[in-house]
Formats: sequence, C-alpha cells, structure tokens
Amino acid sequence: MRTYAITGAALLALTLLSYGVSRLDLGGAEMPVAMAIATVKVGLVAVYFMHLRHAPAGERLFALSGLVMYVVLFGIAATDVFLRRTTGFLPQ
Amino acid sequence: MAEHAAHFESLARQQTAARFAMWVFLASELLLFAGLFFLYMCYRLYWPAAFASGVGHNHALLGTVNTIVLITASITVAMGLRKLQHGAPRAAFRLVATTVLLAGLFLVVKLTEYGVHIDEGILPGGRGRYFAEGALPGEAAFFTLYWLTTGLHAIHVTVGAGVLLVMAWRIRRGTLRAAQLELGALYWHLVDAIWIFLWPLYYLTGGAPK
Repeated sequence: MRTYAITGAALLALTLLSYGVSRLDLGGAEMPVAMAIATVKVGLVAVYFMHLRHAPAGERLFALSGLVMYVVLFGIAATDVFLRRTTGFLPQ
Repeated sequence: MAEHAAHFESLARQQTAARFAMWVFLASELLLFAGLFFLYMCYRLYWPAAFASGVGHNHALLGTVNTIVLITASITVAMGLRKLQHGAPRAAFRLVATTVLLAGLFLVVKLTEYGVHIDEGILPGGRGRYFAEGALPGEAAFFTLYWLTTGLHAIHVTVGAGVLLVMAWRIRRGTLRAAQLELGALYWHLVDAIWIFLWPLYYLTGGAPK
C-alpha cells in the first residue's frame, strides 16, 4: 500500500508540474517537456501499478514488444513526414 | 469459488495465461491509439498555429481536473486489488467502487466539455459555426482529431467502468478472485496511461497563455 501511495503522490505531483510549466512560455521546448513528463508518468503506472516490476518474463516481453512495435510503426511512418522536406523525390 | 478450466493443469497456470493474454490485448490497444497519435503529429507539423490555437481553446483546467480524477481512480483500483489479495474484501469493495464513481465523474466532466463544444459550433469534420466564422485552416483537423481521440478514449473509460462495476458487485458477493480483479485493474491502468498522453496534447501545449 505504501508503494501505491508514493507512486500515486508522484503521479499527482508530476501532473501539477506539467500543468505549471504549460502556463510558462517555453516556446519550442513546450512539447518535448510535456511529452517527457507524460512518459515518466506512464512509466510509473506500468512499473508499479501494472506490476511490471515483479511480472513474469512473458508479461514483460509482451509489454516491451507492444512498445517496440509502437516505436517502429510510428518511426517508419514518420520518415515520410520528415523526408518530404529534405528529398526531391517525394511530393511536397 | 470456481475451479480452473479443464484444459489448464492448475488455477495458477490459468491465471498466468489470463494475465499474459491481457498484456497481448493491451499491446494491441496501444497500437489502436498509435494511428491517432501519428495523425496528430503529422497535422500538427503541417498546421502548427492552428493546433496551438485549438489547444488554447480547450479548457485546460477541466482537462487537468479530469487527469487528477483518472490518476486517483488508478490509485484506488491498485489499492483495492491489494486489499482483495490480502483477504480484505470489504475494503477492496469500497476502493473499487470509488474507482467506478471517479470514472463516472470523469465522464460527466468530459460530456460537459462536449456540450460546450457543440454550443460553440465545434463539430467533427469541420462542421459548425466556429469554422464558418473564420477559424484558422487546420483547426477543423485539430477538432476532428480531438473528437475522434477523446471519444474513443471515453468509450474505453465507459467499458472499464462497466467491467469494474460488475467486479465490485462480485467482490461484495464474495465471488471474485483477486486474479480476476487484476485483469480489470490492468485494463483500467491502460485507459489512464492513454489519457496521460492525451491531456498535454489536447489541453496543455497551446503555446504562451493569453
């Protein structure tokens, strides 16, 4: 129960932090900072609330493969968006 | 207490298989939302000003309240599971029932926001007064994605709340095993995790506040 209370308090503190920094004028750093805080929060949820810390290897493997597939699919598709601006052979 | 299914050699084996299958399902859920997150990135790169304006138009405080509500609901379901594992079903029932109530509160706030959007003439597909009266090009794409993504998420909240409501009822009757509650809790945490990303994308990243 202590672990859950500490994790929960950390999540709520990060939520307030994220809201606080969003009221500042961070310019181009706004999105990276917001995504970094969100990633830490989801990491806490997965490791402590979803018990990946003590999960059997099979469950960890599938959680990891979901993440890897997400990054691979997102990454391959994202090349289109970024290469359009730098190559001549894709429509502008 | 129900026995394990005939094709499993023990209850422990069956529970391990069920948890593994839940993770397979959660991974597929993540990929379901991946397409929507990807479209957000593409369109935001094409129309940065329109997206910042759209985010700025959304009510950051209501979105933040809902984030706190969902995170609290995740804490209570995690604690409820621990209570049930340790043979305290009454406390488990109270905690899981609290999660269901918080899910209901989330939906009330979300539907209130949808109501405000409809009043303002912000409808999916760029229809409505808001877009006819000179919104930035790209704002229609932003709000259409907003409706799609938060709508799909709200459906998940509704399903998760329904599952946990049935589970709370079964805890009260003493017919729910902790391993079964764990599956519902895992699903609920995923719904929470998706919202943790939706919240900054649709409420916080609107540039400098006016």
